[in-house]
Amino acid sequence: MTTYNNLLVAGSSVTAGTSDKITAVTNPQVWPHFLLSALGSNIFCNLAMPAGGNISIAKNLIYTLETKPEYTANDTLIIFNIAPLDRFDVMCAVDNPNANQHFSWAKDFGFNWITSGSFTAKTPPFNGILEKNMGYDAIVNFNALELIGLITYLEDRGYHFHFILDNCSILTDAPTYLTDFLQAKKRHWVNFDNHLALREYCQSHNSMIDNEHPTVAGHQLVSQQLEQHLYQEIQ
Amino acid sequence: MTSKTLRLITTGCSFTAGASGTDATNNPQTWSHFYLKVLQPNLFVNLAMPGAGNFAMSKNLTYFLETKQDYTPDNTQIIFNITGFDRVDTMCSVDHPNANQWFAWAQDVEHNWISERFVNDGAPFNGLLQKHMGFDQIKRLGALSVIDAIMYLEQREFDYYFMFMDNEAHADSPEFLIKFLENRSDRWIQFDHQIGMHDYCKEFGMLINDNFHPDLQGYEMIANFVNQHIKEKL
Repeated sequence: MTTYNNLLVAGSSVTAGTSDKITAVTNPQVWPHFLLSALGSNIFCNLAMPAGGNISIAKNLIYTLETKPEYTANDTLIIFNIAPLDRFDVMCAVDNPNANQHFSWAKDFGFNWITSGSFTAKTPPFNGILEKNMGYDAIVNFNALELIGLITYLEDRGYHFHFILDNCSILTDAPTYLTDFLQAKKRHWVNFDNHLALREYCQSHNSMIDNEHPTVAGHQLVSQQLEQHLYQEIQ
Repeated sequence: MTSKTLRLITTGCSFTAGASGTDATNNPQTWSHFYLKVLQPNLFVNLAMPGAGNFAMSKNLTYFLETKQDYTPDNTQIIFNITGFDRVDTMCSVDHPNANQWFAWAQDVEHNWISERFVNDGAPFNGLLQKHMGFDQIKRLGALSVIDAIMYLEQREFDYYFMFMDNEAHADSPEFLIKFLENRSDRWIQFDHQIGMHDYCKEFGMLINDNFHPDLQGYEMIANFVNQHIKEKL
């Protein structure tokens, strides 16, 4: 398999976990940790956050690539999960009391995120006012445009990247222009055997801890699917 | 690209906002109307709106090009202005009571925008977004939105150009954005020794009474710079 010096991942809770390489390899908890062991990359960066949506996924990745020139297109593999389209993330100061407590890169980047987690969440500080005023369709549209912006950015800069879906309802919720766009990017889209998304794949293997998150064994299966995809790609 | 099939899309803030349609040359109100006279495209779309920030500029452009596939790199030229980095745009439904009233494409693109500035504390958010985002984050997101738009246009190989509303927007730009734009100097329209449209027009006394927006003579001069830059690049 082609080796990449840098492994950069982003996404929501199904990808979130430590960026500490030693911990990730010795005590793997999520699929990026298993993949890191398989690839043997020297640099590992996990930008994912629990409750993160596509806005923070896209902006964190682009910000990293614009400000950290060591992540070159030749030597970096990027994999991200597409999150549910009903989430709205607001960039905020590092010390905002409502900022996501699990974004370990906040200090390094100089910003954090207020993550809604879902359209129906009415958590502080906005208490649903953004969802009320934007409306579901605008939030889905905004998410769709963020994903298109991210994928075209990665393509334009010549990065080797792949994306996976958190769950299949993302496709049901997506506007037609996004599904058309993703269909045209099939070579970057990793499926899991006959399942389009990570959740449904892990459910079919009875590898879920709750309705949304895989067990550690499930994460290992996800990593194996990714490894297989990467291997087939170079054949 | 021939003028017979050429389409022109412009977008940005109030410095670019004005009517769409090639007949805008009959009563030119902004630089793009004067530029139409030179370019003579057969279709002209102006997505700009007064009060818009760089979020809305970027998203409107991407949405338009993704959903109207007959606007192709072979037949479309795109010019946009980068606006103030203190602006926050929130996408909303077309009929939202606080939506931007001047976004003529709202029905067509099925969304509108609540356009605010950092100092704004009006309805519906009453300053909540600004308070929780903070100026630095608003600037950073605006910069990333400009990068989104440009990378999208480059990846699809559109013929595009950009310029700054004023020197202050340039001064407010984060360093990573300036580096990014400097690598695209052939796409960056400037005005003699001034970076922004406002500052060029101000220097030559070509502003209207608000002392901010160009007058018609100013817009005509801006159109001349646009035309000259594009001709030189070609």
